[in-house]
Amino acid sequence: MIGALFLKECRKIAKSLVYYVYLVAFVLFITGQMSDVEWVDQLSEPQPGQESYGYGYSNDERMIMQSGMETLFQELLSNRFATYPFGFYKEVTLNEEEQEVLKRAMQQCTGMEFEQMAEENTAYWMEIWMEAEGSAAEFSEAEMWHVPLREDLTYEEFEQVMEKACEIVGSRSYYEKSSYEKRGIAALTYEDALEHYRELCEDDKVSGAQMRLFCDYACIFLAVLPIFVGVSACLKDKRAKAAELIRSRSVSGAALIGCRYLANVVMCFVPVLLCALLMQMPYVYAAGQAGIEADALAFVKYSCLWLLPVIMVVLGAAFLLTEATETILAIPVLLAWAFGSVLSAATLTGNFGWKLVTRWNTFGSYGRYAEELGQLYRNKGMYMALAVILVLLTVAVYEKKRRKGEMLYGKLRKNNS
Amino acid sequence: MLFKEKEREIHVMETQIQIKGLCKNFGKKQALKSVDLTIGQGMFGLLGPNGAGKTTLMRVLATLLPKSAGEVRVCGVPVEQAAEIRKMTGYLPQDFSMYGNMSAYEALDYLAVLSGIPKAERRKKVPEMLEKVNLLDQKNIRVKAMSGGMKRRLGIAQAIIHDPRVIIVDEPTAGLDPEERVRFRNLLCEIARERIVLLSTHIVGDIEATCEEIAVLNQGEVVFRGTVESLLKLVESKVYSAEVSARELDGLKERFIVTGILNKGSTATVRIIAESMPLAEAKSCSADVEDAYMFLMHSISAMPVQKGGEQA
Repeated sequence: MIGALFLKECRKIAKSLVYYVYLVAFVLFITGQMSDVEWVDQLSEPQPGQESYGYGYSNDERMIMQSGMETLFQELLSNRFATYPFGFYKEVTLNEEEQEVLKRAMQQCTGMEFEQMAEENTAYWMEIWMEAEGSAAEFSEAEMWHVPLREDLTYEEFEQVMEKACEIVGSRSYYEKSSYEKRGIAALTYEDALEHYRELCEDDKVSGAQMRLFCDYACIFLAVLPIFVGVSACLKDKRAKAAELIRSRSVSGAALIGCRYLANVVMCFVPVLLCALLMQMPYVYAAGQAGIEADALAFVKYSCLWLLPVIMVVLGAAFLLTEATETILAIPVLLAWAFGSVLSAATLTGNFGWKLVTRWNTFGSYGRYAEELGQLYRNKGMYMALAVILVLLTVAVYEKKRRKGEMLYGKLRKNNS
Repeated sequence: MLFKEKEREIHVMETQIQIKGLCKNFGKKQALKSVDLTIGQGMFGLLGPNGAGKTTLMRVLATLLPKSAGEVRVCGVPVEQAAEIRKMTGYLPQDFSMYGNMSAYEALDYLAVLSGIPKAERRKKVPEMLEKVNLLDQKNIRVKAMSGGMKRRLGIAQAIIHDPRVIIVDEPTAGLDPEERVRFRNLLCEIARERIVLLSTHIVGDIEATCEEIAVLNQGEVVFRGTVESLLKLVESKVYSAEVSARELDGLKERFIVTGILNKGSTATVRIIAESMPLAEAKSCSADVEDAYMFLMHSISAMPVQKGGEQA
């Protein structure tokens, strides 16, 4: 009976317009994002004497100081400082006095006046713009900012400046130690590039690196669109005026809600899995051509670990809120949660914490990923457990409505006596 | 001897709905006030004006509403055992509807799954039920494209597909054309042969044509319980017809219960309920259930009776 009900629920979803919107939107979004990924070059082994080996994250103190100062310079120049209190994006603007304090601190670190640096950078960008003649590709290849650091600048001095900046701008800004220490960007050396290549071939087996990037984009999408699928599924009885009839059947609330929920999870997840498989194929093929053994099952491993818990928890929350209120309240609430989670990412790579949307917006970097894998497991495990709790609560709410003929908050249902 | 008597008692209980002192409150509003009813096998009619509490009573029996007080047993099972009650009950709500994009077959099959019917049995029963309600030829028609009559027939098919012992049907003929109504009533009578069918309606003709036993509810109370004959007895020798001038109509309506007016130019033939001969030229005529119902409602004065109908 459970199997038959599950299949019937799947068929119901497959006939709904919202589901087709979900499918089309997902395919368009993910293909649009993934088509920009440049990865073919990374399958060839770096050779000594290459002009460039690209950029990567670095633990080198000098590099961390450079990145930190560049960020401070950039935010001071626009007087727009990004902070993320309670996970939500908030822009901070400083007054003249506060700006002056930070400009002086920068001057201490660079030995140059802030205004002079601003002029030089403006001139530099104008030059780049003219040379690139509007070409976005060339423009983006240009080095970011020219912020020369004092040769004798110590890490302690730098830390004091960051601390001052954090004090002025506020907590959950870039200038927190936990944030800036993870964002040192540096040009890779041959040895670094070789290590990255080894990670890509041996640890990631190529497809693993690609699937993390796929999951990064898909995770944003899957924190949003299943909300609509879930809300639509829960309101279907009410819209069809069949709620009372269905409640009068002998099926248990647990079986009905459980099958509906599982059907929604499966119907949302299967297209994701298929997309992941299709997108992984060229990588597996190219890796084979380059003599690298790719992981053909990476799409399953990463989709199940990274994306399934997101779908589960979003649908669970959508089910609970919709069953409890019989309204579309779940849509604004869960959209706020999803966008808050996306905007709260202080970095686009790692720092998973307990965020709903976990980001890894880079191709490769397995070493750093392995360091954060424990937190990723904890994050996903927590959301899976939360999803189960939400579904159990939905069953309880459904049974209460079924027996009491009323809403969770006690409002009487229309009585046509 | 005692054992056999006990056995018989259990058997009677198992084919009855027993309602004792049933109360249902919605906040301060009392929708059902100490209702006592025993409903046996066959068609049982529940009659009453809009807002009398019929739907509330039906929803309590269908386990969709909890009772505030009293005792309700369906075939010996207390209504609190909702899962058991749902297994033995078929419910056709007032506004039966299903997912619009499902076909008649799919909708019935889906509801059969929700009643726990296994696949092999569903394959046999779904076409059988569709045939019974004369929908087999239209099994692929979508619910949203169905007429009111077709929907009601699908509704009755879903109510009986799991072979329930009790069928609760809430105002099933409202909005149907006369032909559909007759067809639907006949279908209900057929089904009621081996079951308890509780039919709620405010259309007196439905009760007259189908039920032997009835109860009349008004403002949450049972104001009559008995057979159709006993209801008719209330107006025995109290129904008259007379031909009057159109000018006299208003005066007549003030003085008597006028249950029918047939206009004929400047005169009209009226149907009057009165304790004694209302007019010298009036003739006694046989009473119908509508007369009896109007008389009952008027005599208890529990609600303002709209005196008189009008026949074109």
